[in-house]
Amino acid sequence: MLNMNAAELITSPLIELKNICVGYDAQTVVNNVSLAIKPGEIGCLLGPSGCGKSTLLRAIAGFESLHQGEIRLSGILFSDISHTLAPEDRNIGMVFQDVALFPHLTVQDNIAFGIRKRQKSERSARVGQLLELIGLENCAEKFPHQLSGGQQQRIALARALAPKPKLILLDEPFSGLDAKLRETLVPQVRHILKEENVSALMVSHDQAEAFSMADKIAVMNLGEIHQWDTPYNSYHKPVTKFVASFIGKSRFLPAKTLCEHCIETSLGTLESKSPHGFKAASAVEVLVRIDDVRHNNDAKYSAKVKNKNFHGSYFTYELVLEDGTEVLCSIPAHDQYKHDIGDTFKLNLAIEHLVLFPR
Amino acid sequence: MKINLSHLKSFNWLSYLALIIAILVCVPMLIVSSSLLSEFGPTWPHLIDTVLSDYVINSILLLLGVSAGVLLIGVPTAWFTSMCDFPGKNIFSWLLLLPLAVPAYIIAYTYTGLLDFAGPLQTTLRNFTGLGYGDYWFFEIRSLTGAIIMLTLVLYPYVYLLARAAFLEQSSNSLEVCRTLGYNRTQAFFHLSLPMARPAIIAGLTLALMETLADYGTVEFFGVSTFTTGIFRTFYGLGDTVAASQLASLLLTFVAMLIILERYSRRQFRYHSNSEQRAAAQLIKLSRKHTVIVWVFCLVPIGFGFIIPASVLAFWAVTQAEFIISDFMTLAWNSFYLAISAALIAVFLSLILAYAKRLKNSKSVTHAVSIAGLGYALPGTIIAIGIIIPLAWLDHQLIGLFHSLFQLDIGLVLSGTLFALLFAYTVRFLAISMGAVQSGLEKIKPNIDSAARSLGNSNVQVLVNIHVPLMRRSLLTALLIVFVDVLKELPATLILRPFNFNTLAVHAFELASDERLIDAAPASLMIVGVGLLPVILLSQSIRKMGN
Repeated sequence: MLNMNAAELITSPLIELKNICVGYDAQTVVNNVSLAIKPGEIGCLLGPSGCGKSTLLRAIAGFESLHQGEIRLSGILFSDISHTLAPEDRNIGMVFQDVALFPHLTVQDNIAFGIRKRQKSERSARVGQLLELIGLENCAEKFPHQLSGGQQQRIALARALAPKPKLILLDEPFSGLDAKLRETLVPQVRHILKEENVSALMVSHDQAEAFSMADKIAVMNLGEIHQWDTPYNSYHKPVTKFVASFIGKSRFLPAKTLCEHCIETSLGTLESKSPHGFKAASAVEVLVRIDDVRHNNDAKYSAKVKNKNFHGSYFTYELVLEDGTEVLCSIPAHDQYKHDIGDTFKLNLAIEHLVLFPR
Repeated sequence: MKINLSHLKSFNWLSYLALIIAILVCVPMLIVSSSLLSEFGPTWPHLIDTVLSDYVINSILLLLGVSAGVLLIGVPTAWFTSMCDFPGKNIFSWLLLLPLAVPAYIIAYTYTGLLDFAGPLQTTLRNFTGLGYGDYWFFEIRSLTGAIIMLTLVLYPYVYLLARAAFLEQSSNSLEVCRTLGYNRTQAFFHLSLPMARPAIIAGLTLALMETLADYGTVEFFGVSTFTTGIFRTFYGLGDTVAASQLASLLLTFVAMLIILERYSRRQFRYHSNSEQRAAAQLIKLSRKHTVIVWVFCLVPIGFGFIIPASVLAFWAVTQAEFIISDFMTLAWNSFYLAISAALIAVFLSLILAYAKRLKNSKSVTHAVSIAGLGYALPGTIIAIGIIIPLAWLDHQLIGLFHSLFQLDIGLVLSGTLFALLFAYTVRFLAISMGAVQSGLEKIKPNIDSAARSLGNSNVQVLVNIHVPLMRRSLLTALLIVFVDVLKELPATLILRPFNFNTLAVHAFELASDERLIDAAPASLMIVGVGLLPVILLSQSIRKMGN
């Protein structure tokens, strides 16, 4: 424990948001948000559209002023209520969803755009280094319109990296691309960022993207951050019901606590190793992930198939229990049991950590 | 298979039509340039000894002066009204278009009336100071500098319009990236906005310069010898059609250079335009001091380009001018129906050309379309000469034919009627209606055509049922621009109008030539007034674009 605290002290946050509020006119879009990113860390603001994540990003970049709170980079005040450092003086790079490459400049001129004041030799060395890093050495002379979407996105990243910013902001950088391309590009971008040892904050509404990209995820809704945590914890230890429902496929079952460790649901009594934190006999809801529901012919509970969905290697089933509540279940496609809509099959729950919310 | 065949058939029908239109548009240019092949007659030594160098030098100086002028006014005003936020911005953004309604020759007559020796300004000055003729220096409006100022005042809206559209189209994301890369707003303007808008600015500039080369009324009235006045003098004064035509083909080389420049910058448009996702740019809020500067900057061209000349014209027309209402109405009607007819013809032909190109982007059709677009670069003088020569020849053949066959004297059915005029207007203004029509058509996604075709519409039905309704705004714009331009057109009308047929423009020109500047005011005012109507409508769509 002591060692960890020491490590925390050494790596003081690169960027720190303290209780910030951002809004347009009377409307508050970002409400009392606090966040800290360590050097070299990649964060992600994850949330449904309209949750304020892009506005938050723009406030960090200096395009929006604060109604409350402050933003510091390496301890230096960048924004507070009364003053907003101009975007050009922040040395924070930004990458947009629509790439926003300068169409009239070649690839190398695009990348060199932010380092025009450096010496020519230094400039071309940096451009060459970045082109190599993004794997587009032979595209230096090309114009943006001659390149594919993925290539353009990598160039936009290189352009933002060129001045060696301490922080890169990525506004939905992959949502304009098709799923296949996204799968290859996301790890590439993560690799590039780690290689450059730059901190990054990405905005996304796609959890798969956030999981494979980020070290830490801030789940946002209605202008507030619900949880700022590792992807693992966001999934397994959601702190609010919104986080639990937004991340992963799951349903909630009504339950009643029996003791400090156990609860009773319509699918039987469940017990967790650590105390769940609710008093006995309180009405709660338990989070049931799709992978918590097991098909088991020996079980005593049964459910009816409401809908099913084929995903190649597995099926997902929407099931209705006898009391009318719903759960999800995934079953490998090569499983010997095939169930059609309207069929009934036996199931039980296999939950290790109980995630409960008051009902 | 059958469906494919019918598709091919309708394509052929349209593309042949497009080729025919292109060839007809080419006629004047071909006639004029072919004159270079004929012998250089006895007029030439005279021209070379006396006036040719004046023509060349004055034309070049005029081009340079107008370039500087329209850029200095057009680009900053475009930027202020598109990227800045200040009180009165929306009003200025359409007021700045008003000079578009004023032809250069009319503004020239007005300022001459105001500023020449007998004008109110100098008279007042003399009355106050007691100075007499030659005792003092006063700006001589009837000069090359005067012509540059006059042309600049009415042509800067071309640069303003295109530059403004380009600035508005720039994605705010590009500007924001620029900011995050360490550029402040001013640096971002010079390093990003301006270079990105450059193709549009150059396209606007070339349009203004084509108008400058085409101008006859201003330079003639100011006594500045340029190519256009030279062609008129050689044609009417010396009566040498061939030499006039040869002179015209020299002018054509100037024009050709402008065309190349214009086409080049237009080609770059495609790549310079941003992705479809466009967030509205954050406007720069101007301080009070800057607002005043911007106001002055916008008010100068509006005031000198429109408000002052229009007020003076109105004052003269109401208080001092002598004119007869019925004669005036005839003039107005002549101008109006000529302009409407020409506009309808031009837009109809543009639709055919643009649609033929959309259906089959074959080399021949693409060439046809781009050739048909060349007319706009041609000064009215060149077109008129290139039309009068073949039509006069055709008329003489027809007269001979009808006389020998039916003993009928049919007169000059082609060169002596409105046919020649409408032909000239179509050649000259087809390109601008094409521009609007094509851009409207390009906005319609090709899949919409496919969807309509798969639902049983023929190609022509797609055009009529889908495209025309979807692009009615573009079509209206095309009609309006051609309408204004025809109304203002002077040199081609002067040469090609039927005997005793007068338009408002010709009438104003004739009165001004007789130094009856004040009597020319009603006709001039009418041209400005009618020209104003489409400009106001155009400004409405621009206001929408801005918001």
